[in-house]
Amino acid sequence: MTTPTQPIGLDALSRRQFFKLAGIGAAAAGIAGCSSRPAREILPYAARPPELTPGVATYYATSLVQDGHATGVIVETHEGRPTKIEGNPDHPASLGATRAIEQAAVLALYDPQRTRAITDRGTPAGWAAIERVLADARAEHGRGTHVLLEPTSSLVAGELLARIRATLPAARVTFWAPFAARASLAGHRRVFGRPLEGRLALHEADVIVALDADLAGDHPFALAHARHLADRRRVVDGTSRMNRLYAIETSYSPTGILADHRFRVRPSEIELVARELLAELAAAGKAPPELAAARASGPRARWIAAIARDLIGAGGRTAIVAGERQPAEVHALVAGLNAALATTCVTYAPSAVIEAGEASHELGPLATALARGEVTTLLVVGGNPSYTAPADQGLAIDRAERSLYLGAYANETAAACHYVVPGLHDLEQWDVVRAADGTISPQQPMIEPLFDGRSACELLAAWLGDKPVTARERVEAAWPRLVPSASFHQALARGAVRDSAMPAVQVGVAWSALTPNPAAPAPAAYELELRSHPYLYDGRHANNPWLLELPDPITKLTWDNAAQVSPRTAAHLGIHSGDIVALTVAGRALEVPTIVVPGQADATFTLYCGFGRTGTEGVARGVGVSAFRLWTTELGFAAPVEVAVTDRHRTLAITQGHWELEGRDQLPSATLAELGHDPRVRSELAHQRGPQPTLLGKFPHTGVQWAMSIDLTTCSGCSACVMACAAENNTPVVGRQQVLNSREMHWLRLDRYVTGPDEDAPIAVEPMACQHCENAPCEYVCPVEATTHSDDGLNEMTYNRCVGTRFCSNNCPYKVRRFNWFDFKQHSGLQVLARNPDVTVRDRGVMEKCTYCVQRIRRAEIDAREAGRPFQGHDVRTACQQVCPTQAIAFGSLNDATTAVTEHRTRPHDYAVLHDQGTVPRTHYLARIRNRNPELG
Amino acid sequence: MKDKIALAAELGTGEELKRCIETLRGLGMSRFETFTPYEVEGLEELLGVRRSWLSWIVLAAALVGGGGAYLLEWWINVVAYPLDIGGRPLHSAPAFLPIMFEMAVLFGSAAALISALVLGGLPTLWHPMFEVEGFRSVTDDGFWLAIHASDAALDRATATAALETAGARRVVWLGASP
Amino acid sequence: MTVDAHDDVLLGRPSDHEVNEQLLSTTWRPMTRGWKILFAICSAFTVLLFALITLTFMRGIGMWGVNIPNAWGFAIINFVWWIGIGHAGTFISAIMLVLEQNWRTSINRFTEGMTLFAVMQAGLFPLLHLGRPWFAYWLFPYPSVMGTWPQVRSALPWDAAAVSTYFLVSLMFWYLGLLPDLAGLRDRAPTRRRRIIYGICALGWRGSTQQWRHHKVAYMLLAGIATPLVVSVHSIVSLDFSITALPGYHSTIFPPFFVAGAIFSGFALVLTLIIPARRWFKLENVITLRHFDLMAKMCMVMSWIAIYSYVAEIFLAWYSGDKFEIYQQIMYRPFGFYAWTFWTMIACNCLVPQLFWSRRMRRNLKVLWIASLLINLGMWLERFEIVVVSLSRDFLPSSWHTYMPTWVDLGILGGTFGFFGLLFLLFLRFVPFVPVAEIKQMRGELEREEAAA
Repeated sequence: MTTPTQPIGLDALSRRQFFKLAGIGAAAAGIAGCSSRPAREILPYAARPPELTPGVATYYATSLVQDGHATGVIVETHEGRPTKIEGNPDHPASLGATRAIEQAAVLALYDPQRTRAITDRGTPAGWAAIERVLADARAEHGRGTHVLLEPTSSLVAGELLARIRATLPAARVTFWAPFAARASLAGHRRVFGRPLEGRLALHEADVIVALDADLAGDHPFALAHARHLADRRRVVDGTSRMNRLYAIETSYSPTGILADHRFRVRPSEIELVARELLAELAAAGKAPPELAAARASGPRARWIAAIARDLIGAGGRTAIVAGERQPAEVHALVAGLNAALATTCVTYAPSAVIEAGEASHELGPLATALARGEVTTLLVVGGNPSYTAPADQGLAIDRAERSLYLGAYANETAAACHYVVPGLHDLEQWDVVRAADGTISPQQPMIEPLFDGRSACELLAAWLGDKPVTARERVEAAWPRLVPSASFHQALARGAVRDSAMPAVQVGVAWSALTPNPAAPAPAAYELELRSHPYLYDGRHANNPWLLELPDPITKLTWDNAAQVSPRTAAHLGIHSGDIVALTVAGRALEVPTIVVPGQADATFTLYCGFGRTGTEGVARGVGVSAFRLWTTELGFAAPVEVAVTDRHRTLAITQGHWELEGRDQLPSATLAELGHDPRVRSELAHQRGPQPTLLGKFPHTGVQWAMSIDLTTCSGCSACVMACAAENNTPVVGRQQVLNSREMHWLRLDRYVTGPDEDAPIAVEPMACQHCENAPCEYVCPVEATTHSDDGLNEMTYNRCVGTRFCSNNCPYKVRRFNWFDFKQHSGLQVLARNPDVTVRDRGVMEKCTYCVQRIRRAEIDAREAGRPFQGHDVRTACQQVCPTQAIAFGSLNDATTAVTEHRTRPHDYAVLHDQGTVPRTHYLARIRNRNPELG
Repeated sequence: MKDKIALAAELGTGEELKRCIETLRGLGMSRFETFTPYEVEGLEELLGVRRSWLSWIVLAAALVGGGGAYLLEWWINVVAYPLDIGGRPLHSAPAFLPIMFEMAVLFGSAAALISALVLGGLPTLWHPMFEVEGFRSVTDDGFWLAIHASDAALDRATATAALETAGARRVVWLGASP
Repeated sequence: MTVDAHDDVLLGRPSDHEVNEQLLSTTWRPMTRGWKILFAICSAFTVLLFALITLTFMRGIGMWGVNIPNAWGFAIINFVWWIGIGHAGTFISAIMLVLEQNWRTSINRFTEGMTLFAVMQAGLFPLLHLGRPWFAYWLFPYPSVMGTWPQVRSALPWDAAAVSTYFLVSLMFWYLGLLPDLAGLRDRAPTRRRRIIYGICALGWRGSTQQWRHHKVAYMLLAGIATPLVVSVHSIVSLDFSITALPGYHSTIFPPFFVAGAIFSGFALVLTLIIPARRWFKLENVITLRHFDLMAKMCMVMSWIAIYSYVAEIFLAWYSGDKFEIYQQIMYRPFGFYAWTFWTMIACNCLVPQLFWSRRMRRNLKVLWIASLLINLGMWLERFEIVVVSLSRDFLPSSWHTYMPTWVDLGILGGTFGFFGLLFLLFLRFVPFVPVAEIKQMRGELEREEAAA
């Protein structure tokens, strides 16, 4: 990207120009791809498909895949052009929600840096050349041929791989993704004898303990977990029953934000915590007595005992989960804990991923073979192993005689291979895959492959020498064999096959596998924790400007990664946010800026992977540093680290630097008990709602009167809503330089504040978009009537009328208005195809802000009028509401007693931000309620 | 003022000018006109010029400007575009006042300038007096007295004599009317 | 140094002719070297100004330091500051005329010129700071095909009306006063070309009784109208802030506070400009130490009004108990990120003018000149406090962000100084900047009073 030394305003332009250059060539192909015909001909909709009305969106179900785990989505397409992705309510891994990553996938489809054509060492080549390579790779049963795949659950690929095993026995197949499940499977193999995955029924659990496990964040089943957690946390009043969530982690995660109690521990302490918990249970006679030896002492003892008692008291309605970052030992212990508590909320089932838990998911053997020069042909199918390989294994692709990369993006691995074959985006894909729970989820393309890409299956089939068939034919032909129980077309329509999840298996814990208490290693001075980035994951999304500019849920950092460090440790080292430190793990040093984060465990550093890309992707290159360079297989994701403070500094583009509430009451929080019977708390909350003295008369608010209500108890700050808002409303990306000057354009921001004094720093998140005030301060200061009030209570912006005085922003107490300081919009290039045609693209010099997704409201009104029914607005959902994994957002009419918003208004913890300003906002909030353990206060 | 000037005389000070007028009055002449580098105290009274009624024009203009402005504001917000602006009443009287005031000021001032010029007979780039030898001093230190040809009592010899004795620097005869 | 109050607003008793020669000759006397150098510098800065305006129009106001929450920055500060400068001009020429302060006579045209050119600078900014300046005319009511009208509950259309009215009225007032002297130049200017040009501008003025009669009344009326106008203009400018809900903006004392501040800075700039001009054009006899003495006293009065306002703001913030106001006024401004601007402002606006308690200081031109510069700086910073510091810390800590000007901001501010200077130098060059006729008349009055005494 750009350096801070560049004059303000230049980088946004240069980035856009880059996009233009890269995109122009592809634009034609892209548009052609929109028609339902081959890319060669661009034809008008003279004879358009019957199901398609120009101007009216059509919706199809398909699945997006990450490390072999499918998430069901519904894709909105306009004239065959995918523009928006929504969750699929019928899909168990989505339940109607998505993460930010899925929201941004639509932009990735139109990424101008996708691989465009088959190349041989950079020069264009034909498919014939590839077939020759594959033919050679078939020779002598595939000796010397290695295939490196991403972990996959594709049934089609499964068949092909089985045939490869049979006909090409000498070939080696390896699966690789840095954050794919390994430790849990290994741990469970230890105690159950076979590699199994834990399945959580969190909607049944009363007490949940997350040991460094980001249940609602980076877990493959996070969306379902988030919903299930939240469904047990919807507080109506003080008498409501809530589950209790303990988060024990090193760095803050969305799960930590949701938690009722959060404890900061070093990564290495997690194992001790697990042991000590088990010891408490053993002491209580729940587990073999010899395990009781490891009972906690010191500061941890108090809360561990309390948690143990809480768990035992829950009578089997408990769930204890360890994160994938933790070593196998911890997962084994956790399995023991769950067994000891005889919980009904945790079951075990085989993984949906092919060969999950087998050696084939380790990179080691391939790395060695390459180093020894034993590889004649290397087929890399997807992924980016050159970038994600552990630092101590390194993948010497150049040692292979012939290397071929099939992938959608021109990344590091593509650069390292001889042959590059354009891959497919999930939205161009035909396949049958499985969700994390095994549910069979078909993939169907929304659009013709933009760049004549090929799927993994197609490559494998070609390797096997099959005669070419279209992707659809392959899947349709295989379906009866693969899924005899269900109809192909019903499955496509629904996006998932009912009841096709992997059944749980009966298991018993081998207690003997749990070593009572090995000598704990002396703790290092500092520990480093490596995590997958909440948006970039393992770096595969690093070329997506939407995700790069999406503020981190906790640090609010954009366009960068930085080592998170606790205030105390920062003070001890004498560093501030932005100061660059050199982190050294096992002799490998990396210089990174630091960022001070309350709630981070002391003496630890947390660094996100996925940055520091060096491929040819223009946006990703040079953003942040690659944490993989500190990742070694023997040390894993948490390692002792040496720290050297440098005298250099990098200003970080943070959208909210401020953590404190400043004694203001914009985000009230209370415990469930206080909400029940603490008159002070109740009256404080009551003071933030209700009528206020005013001289103004009231305009008649008849008919549908839109309003929103956001439940902060279930908001994890995951930021999917922010991304959904950007995707729905065409908000532009402005780049690091502009973010540094507080010019980000997101209509919705997630304010996060530390709501408590203690060092564990309880954080609550408050989504903040236009509040659609009835007495809107922005309106009466606009000199040209560019922002006015609609009859149905919307605060409307008339972009064409705006002259850009910005008076409205000055007078907005919530500062939710965004201004087009430059011509931020992209004028040409492939990515304009991702825009929502129902929303105006704003011009330079005009103000913009949240509209309550007015285009959806008006569309619903039109539909109602066409259908001849009275409009009640029950079917209107805003983009942020629709995507929210925990359904924290309610939207509807205040004049309708049946809507959730009206009901929320009656709750004791309903409040309006800055109520005393008399703006009468239409967006209300439900205060953050924590279900504290009485023992811990 | 319309009719022709017959005789013009330049005097050194305002006081001399006033004295001359009185002497000439004594000789029965009445149709004078004076030109001075700056306003001379008491000259108007002497010539019997009433106070300018220009102020009434200004008042009228100010009322039109202010009233018109308020009316327009009312019409825009109550009739033409009755919009809900931040829940404020359509007829937000206090908010309409500033512009009303400014428009009153603007119209009043414009009226003042324009009528001052028009009533003062401006612009007229040519005037018979400009033909008079030495009249330039009217903006320097010359106090000029002119007698209209239409003045029945005007007699060149007596007037000239009277003026010269009164210390006129220059007396110019422009010719009487037939 | 004589002490007679009347005597020393005009030293000696030059004859009408001497006055005429001395004051008109500034327009044909050969240009001094200093004037030429200054002219070159000012022209250079004017070019810079218009270059940067072009840049801003082409790329967008993102070229400035403004952001969210600091959506207003230098442009608005400069606007308020420049418009304030103008006020002293009107104050001296109009209000003092109404109050019959004859000492204003020798400096009123000078200050009126200053008013005009300052308002021209100020007028640039409301236009420049728009996101889409090419639609600025939407702030004025006109029957558009869109059938849309301005939203007059906002203070910005009030501004548009006030500022344009202020400019036009000042111009008319200035021209009406200038008319007799233009005629003077018509009759006295050395070359024929000048005589023709000035003659046309003079519209045929010949000082007839009729003309003086209406001129006098119109001039008095304009002065009378300008008096409430000058008060209204800065009051309305202050409403841009006080009609909002923002802590630091939302204040009822702004109108008088702004007007006083305006006159304060205006008098300071009069001093800044007139001290060198008087020297270069050798006008010690018409612009005398007594003038400076009186202007210094005015500055001190205005300074005390400013002090009162600062104290009142802080007290009211505390007294209101409003946590946002208290944070803004009592914690953030004096001790926050921009504390240095606050304390510099206090030093310049509250401490420096206290020098003028001493008569020696009031009549020491070096001291006066430097003090006037400091006061101008202080008044600019006062607007910075209001515009930027308030915005950078508003209601929700999550939206807090600081403001830093860019080189374009600084360039435009510097450019307006150049443009102002350029216009002013031309004014000094081509127009008698001490009213000739009025001086002559004042001398007459003085003589009469002495005779009476």
